[in-house]
Amino acid sequence: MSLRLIIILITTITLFMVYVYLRLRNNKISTKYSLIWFLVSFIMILATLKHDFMGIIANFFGIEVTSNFIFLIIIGILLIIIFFMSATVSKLNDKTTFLAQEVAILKNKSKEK
Amino acid sequence: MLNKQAVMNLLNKINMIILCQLRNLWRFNLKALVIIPAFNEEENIVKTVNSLINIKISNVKLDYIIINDGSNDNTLDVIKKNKLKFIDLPFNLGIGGAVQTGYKYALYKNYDIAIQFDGDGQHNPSYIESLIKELNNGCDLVIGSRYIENNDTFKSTKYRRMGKNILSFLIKIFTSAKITDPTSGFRACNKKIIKKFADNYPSDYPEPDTLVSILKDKYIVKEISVEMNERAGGTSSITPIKAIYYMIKVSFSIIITAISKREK
Repeated sequence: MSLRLIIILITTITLFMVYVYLRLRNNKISTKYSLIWFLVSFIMILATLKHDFMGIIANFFGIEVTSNFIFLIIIGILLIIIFFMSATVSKLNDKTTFLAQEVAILKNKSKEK
Repeated sequence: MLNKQAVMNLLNKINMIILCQLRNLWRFNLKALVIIPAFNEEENIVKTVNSLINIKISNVKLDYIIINDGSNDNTLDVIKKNKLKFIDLPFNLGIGGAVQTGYKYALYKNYDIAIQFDGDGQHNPSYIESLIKELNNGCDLVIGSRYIENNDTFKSTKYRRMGKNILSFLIKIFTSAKITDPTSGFRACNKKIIKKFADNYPSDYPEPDTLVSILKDKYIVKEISVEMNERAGGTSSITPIKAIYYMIKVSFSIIITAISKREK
C-alpha cells in the first residue's frame, strides 16, 4: 500500500470521526448508531496502519493486493450495517403506520363528541 | 291511599318491562360497518356512499366509514361538504394501512361485522346482504368473487386473468382451498377476523396475503358470486410495470406466510 493512499485514508477517516462526534454533540445522531460508526472507523484505521499484518491474512485467503482485502472487509461491514438499517426502517414504518391510524381514529372520536 | 300508589307503581313497572321487551324485539341485533378506503376518489365517493345508504337489511344496522388515505385532490372537501362520516389519515398509508384503520375502528366501536367496500364504485352494494347472510350461516370471511360463475360481464384482460390464476394456484397449493378471486376487495368478516385484522394487516396489496393466513388458521372462508362494475370515474392505481412487481411481491409473501408457523 502506498504511503499516499495511507495518508489519504487516515485523513478521511479522521475527518469522518470528527463529523460523527460533532453530530453526536448536537444530538443529531443517537449514541447507539454513532458507536457503530466509531467502531467501523477504528477498524478501518487499524487495517490501514497494520497493512503488513492484513497482507498476511490477505495472502492466506488468496488475495494478492492488500488494499483489495481491506475494501472487501469494509464492504462486508457496510452491507451488514445497511441490512440492520433496513430492518430498523421497517420497524419504524410499522410504528408510524400505527401512530397515523390511532391519530386518525382519535381525531374522528373527538369530532363526534 | 298508600295502596293506590303501590298499584300505580306496579303498573308502571309492568309497563316498563313490556316496553323494554318490545324495544328489544325491534332493535337491530347486528351492527355492521362498511369500510370504504378512499384515495383520490372525489368523483366517485358521494355516489358510492349514496348507493350504500339506501341498502336496508333486516336485523342489521348498517353503518359506513370512509377512510381518507391522505388524498391529494379534493376528496376530503367533498366528504366534508356532503357531511359524510369519515376518518382522515394524516398521510398516505396505502390500501392496507387504510383498510386496517377501518378494522381498528370496527374493533373499538364493537361492530359485529365489517365489510370492505371500494370507494371507486366498482362494487355493487346490493350484494352486501348476501355477504352478511353467509356470515350468519357460520362463515368467518366471505369474499365477493367476480369469477365464480365464469360470467364475462366483468371485462378482464388476458394478463389479469393469468395473474389471478397464478395466485389462485399458489393458494391452492399451500392451503388446499379453492379461491377463484383472491384479489377481490369486496369482503365481509365477523368479529374474530376483525380482531385479527386490527392486530395485523399487511401494508400494500393485502388481500391474497391475508387470505392465506386466515385459511392457515382454519377459519371458514366462502366465496359468493358478485358482479362488479367498471370504474365509474378516475383512474385505476395499477400500471403494467406495477402489476409485474405486484405479482412477484404477492407470490413471495404468500409463500412466506404459508411456510411460516401459524400463531394462534
